[in-house]
Amino acid sequence: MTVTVEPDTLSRTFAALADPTRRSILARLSEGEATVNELAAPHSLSLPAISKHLKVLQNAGLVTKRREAQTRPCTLNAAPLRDAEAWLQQYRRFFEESFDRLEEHLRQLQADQPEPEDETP
Amino acid sequence: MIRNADRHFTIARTFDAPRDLVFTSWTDPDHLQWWLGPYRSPEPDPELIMDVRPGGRFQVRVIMDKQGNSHLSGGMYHEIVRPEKLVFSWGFPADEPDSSPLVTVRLNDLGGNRTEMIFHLHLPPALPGSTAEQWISVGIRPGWIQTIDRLVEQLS
Repeated sequence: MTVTVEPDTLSRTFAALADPTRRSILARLSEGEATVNELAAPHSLSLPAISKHLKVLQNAGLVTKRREAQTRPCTLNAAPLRDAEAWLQQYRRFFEESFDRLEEHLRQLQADQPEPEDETP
Repeated sequence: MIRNADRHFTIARTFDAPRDLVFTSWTDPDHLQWWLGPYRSPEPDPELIMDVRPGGRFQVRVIMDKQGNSHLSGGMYHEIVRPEKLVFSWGFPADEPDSSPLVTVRLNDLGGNRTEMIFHLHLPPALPGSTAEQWISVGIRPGWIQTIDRLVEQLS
């Protein structure tokens, strides 16, 4: 069965990743689950502000809140980042940029080459 | 687990350079380290390994932004046909070659000092969970932030 990733989902994922606070929350969660209080601790942000960031991450499917526990700890969900589309876009970008540099590299190499001279050693 | 059927892409470029030189740019450490990655250090890469033969490994430090944030990429050479074809796996140096993306570079001599490069990247059937976790660990480190930010710009 083929499930195509909707562009909307992908935009949401990357939009969620575009904020440094949210990235730091994800970095913390990549080490294990944490409560909202624990997530807020390293930041100079209010709990409601952190909750707002968490909401964005939840909507992007990157974070889930466990319902069973009273503290409702947050866990990282890697699934959106496992989408082939996301990987491919990253790789494509990486190599497109590299090839711009390769083009420049090749240009410079040829420019640096001295004109053939009638020089015999 | 990969959820998308479209698991590959192709980039075609034409360079004003002889095919042999383009091939050398891929296979010679004195060349590759100066262009691979969005940014390059002015210093030679001390961790660079390029064992260019079938089954040989490579690793290269790629710099992702102006601040110099970087990570090691690497893989294994599968096929080397000078000066027209190069096949290698591309990922983190510790990855199993079979679970890494596979890259095929084909070079066509167009004559008149021009070379067409067809770059093809194919994701493996299933990226293992550990790779996704590694992806997260580099994906949210500063090294990838600019790439992600640019992606966001592109997507929005």
